[in-house]
Amino acid sequence: MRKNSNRLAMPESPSTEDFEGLFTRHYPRVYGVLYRLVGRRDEAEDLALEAFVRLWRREEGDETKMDGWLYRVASNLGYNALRASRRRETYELQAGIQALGDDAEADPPAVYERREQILRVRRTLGRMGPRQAKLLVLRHSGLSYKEVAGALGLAPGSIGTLLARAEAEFETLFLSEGQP
Amino acid sequence: MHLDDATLRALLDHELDSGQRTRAEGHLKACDACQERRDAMAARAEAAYARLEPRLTDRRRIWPTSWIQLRRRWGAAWGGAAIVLALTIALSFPSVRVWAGEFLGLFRVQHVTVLPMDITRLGALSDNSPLATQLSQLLSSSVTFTRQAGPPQAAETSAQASQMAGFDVRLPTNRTDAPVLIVQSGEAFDVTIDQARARSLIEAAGLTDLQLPASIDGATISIDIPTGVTAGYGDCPALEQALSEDMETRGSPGRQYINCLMLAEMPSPTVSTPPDLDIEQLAEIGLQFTGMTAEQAREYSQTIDWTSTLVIPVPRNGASYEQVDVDGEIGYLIQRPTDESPQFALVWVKDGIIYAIGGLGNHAQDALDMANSMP
Repeated sequence: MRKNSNRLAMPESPSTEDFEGLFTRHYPRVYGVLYRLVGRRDEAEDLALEAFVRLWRREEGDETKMDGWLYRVASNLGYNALRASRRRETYELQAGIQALGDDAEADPPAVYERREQILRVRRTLGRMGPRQAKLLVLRHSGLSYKEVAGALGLAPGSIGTLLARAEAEFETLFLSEGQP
Repeated sequence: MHLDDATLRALLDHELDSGQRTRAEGHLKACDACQERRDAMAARAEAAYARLEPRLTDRRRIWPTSWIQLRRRWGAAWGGAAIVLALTIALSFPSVRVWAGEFLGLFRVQHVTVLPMDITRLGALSDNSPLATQLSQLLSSSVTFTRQAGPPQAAETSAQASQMAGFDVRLPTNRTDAPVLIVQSGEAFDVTIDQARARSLIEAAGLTDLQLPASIDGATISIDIPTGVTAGYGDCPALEQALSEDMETRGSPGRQYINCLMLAEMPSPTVSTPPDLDIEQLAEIGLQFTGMTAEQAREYSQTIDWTSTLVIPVPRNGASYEQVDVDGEIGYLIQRPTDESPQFALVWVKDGIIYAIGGLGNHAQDALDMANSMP
């Protein structure tokens, strides 16, 4: 039984205005979360759209918690894509190709360096625990502590501590990525 | 008793309430160990942020190739025109205008150009040149207002301003003085493109090689500019009157606004175009109009998603700009460091609302502090 109060949760009775507003408000950040996780524009766009499609098709839920739901789905999609080894090979290769394409006029050493940086960040995130990686990316994509907590099902008061730990872990793993 | 990590990290992120913040800052002043931990934590946060941050061009392409993609996958009956969020702010710092009104004024006058305009070209058009006259005639014959803006209205409180404007007005918490709040109602209009007139305008500008696509003829672009709110902090004499004056006839800003900081807020305007109108091609034409070659325009245009990017032309000479972290977003601080009357503008977009803080003098840091204290 669908809840009549949740207009966004009823595909057969779409509230396009509500959904449009939601999309407009959240798309940039949802995309930002996913781009930081997967490192490729096209895949981030696909996954962001997938998150919104899932939101649109969602049949149950509390409208007031929709933001948290959206970012939870988006960060899960991004993290899963990041960890999927068969996709990783593809995105690593394509991230490099895309980096080269983006910098058609840049000097090759700079392009190479940036490509390496992108891959290094992705590898680092992939080595972190799911919660830490998602928390780090959500916060650095501009979500408030309350929003991060809503997305990850955590207490807002715990975000500061967890974020500090995640940043320390990210730094350690990132630097170790550079070691032979 | 030292501050715990949660408090230190939340302090850096402005996530403490005022009481907690005051206590934490009080402790920090007297505790070298906590200061060191805070600094190390800040350095790690900054490093993580820098490494995770997409490149500028990626950030500017944050919208997908658009609604069309979503609509296709969605399968819902959206119909109608594709919705694009596009706004070109021509930030020109012309000396004949009061800076205080610059942003709102330019928001208002966006309807005179759907194309991005180079500052130098804008300057040329500001004169009573034949080109400017022709442009004026073109626009006057092709613009139909569907909603007219009313005169600016004063608001007593941010709550009242929010109610009048229809969006949540955010004010900086680091200012204890009450701002002068002015609500400027929005407007909506349609621009119908007449290819023949546009062609003659292009020829008058000397761009005889520029090709207009056939699909442009008769195309109607609908622009809806929402109501905006301006908050004047400091000494802002006759703000309401200044905002309502005709910008072109206004005199030099003078020194009376030297201690006035203006915060302008407005939801993103919406621009609806026919589905077959190629916005990128239109943008390329605009760029060529500003002096770029066709090749340069194409290259530049391809780096930007015109359906969503707030493009701020900055004068090539006489102004500088830098990317800044502001209000949890990436913004731009643009400065015109003249000796006589230095001017600055801090612009960012958050949650669909465009924000700008501007003023005269060397108060750019004050603007950043204000922006970063917004709740």
